Amino acid sequence: MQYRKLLLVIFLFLSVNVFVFTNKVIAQYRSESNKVTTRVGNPADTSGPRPTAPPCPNNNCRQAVIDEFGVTISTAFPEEYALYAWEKLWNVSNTNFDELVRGTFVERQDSGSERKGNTIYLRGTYGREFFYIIFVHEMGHVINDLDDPISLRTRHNNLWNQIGGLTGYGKTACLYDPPTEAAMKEENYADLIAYYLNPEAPDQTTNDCSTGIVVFANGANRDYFELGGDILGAY
Amino acid sequence: MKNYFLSHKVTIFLSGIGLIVFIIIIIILNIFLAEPAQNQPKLEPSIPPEINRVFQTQVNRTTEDQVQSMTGLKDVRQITQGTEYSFPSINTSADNTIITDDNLVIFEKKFTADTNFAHPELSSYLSLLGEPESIIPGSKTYGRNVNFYIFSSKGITIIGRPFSDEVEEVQQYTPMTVDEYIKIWGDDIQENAEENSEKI
Repeated sequence: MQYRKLLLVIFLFLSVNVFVFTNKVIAQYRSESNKVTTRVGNPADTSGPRPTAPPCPNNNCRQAVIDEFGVTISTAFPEEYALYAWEKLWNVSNTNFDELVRGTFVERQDSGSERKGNTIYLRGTYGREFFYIIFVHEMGHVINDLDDPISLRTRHNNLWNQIGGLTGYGKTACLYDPPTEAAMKEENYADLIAYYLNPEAPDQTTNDCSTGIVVFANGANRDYFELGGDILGAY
Repeated sequence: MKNYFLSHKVTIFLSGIGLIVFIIIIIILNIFLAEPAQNQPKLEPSIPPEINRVFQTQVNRTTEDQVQSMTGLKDVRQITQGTEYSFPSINTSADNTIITDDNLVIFEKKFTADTNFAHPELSSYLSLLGEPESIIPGSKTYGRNVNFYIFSSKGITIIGRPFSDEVEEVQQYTPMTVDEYIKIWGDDIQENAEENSEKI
């Protein structure tokens, strides 16, 4: 009788071990066949708490932004601008944004912000919150010129044709002379990126024609919101 | 009356001869001057086959009847250059259009993305065509970050986005000079595109 009990215990012990081992093998196989790129923050396309930036390593935000995100902030900016960039890039790192803008240079130009090639030019006079918006807006121009299947540029332009612009600047291109339809679409695209990733901020890209409206408040502009999600993933 | 004709018969005879000679000269001039102009072959674009397959027509060969029978015809309108036939593309700002004049196709433009919004590679097209005769930045349709790569002596223009190496649109037309192209078909060129980049 004692002998039978001992055999039963040994049998149960071995069964549990076989079960645990089998599960480990299966899990390892799955992780190898679905490799993902290691990213900062949450994976793209998963909603969740927005990442908060840790302190810049070695207290050097400019270098940290280069090392972590591949974005170069000009030394013409005060160090605090590198901190703002570090904060915002971390904050949106659960989306595709940081990967889409990797390799971009940020130069200072106090006469006005713009984008040329893979360099964006920003005024060095913005406060933190407005910097977040204009920084992402100019990066939006960079994304707009990526491959169409990634940027969804044509899909955006078709939506603009169908329902009009999202923001005041996207409806009027009021800083342009003359304000062409193509300019409205380009600015609307950049504003879509800017306000998708700053959803609580009112429309304020330019004093000349921005509306002050929180464009995605209470489920407004659903089509544009969904397009932003398709470009960037959930934020 | 009869006396009049008799007294001027030499004059009338010579006038008749002169009239006949005049008519013969007119006929000869018509044969030698007018007919060669009618037979002069119209120039056709010189486009590599890899690019040419994008188009639906052949300039100065495809007839207006053939265009009218194409599927998906959206709109027809008269414009300065001839009759414009529009066909929808997946870009609602950029219909594919064919323009005919004197019963033949003289211009075609085509938006190049497929249904997944994938475009042909600009660098591949440019390597097939060689050095452009002119590069002009800025399009009213596609914005300030595209260029017109004009090969007007070959009868083709590529509108492309160098940043992403994408072709947005191809155009074919009767070969001409760059200035003629800009004047006749350059309506989409956005003037002052570079100045307009100085914006937020």
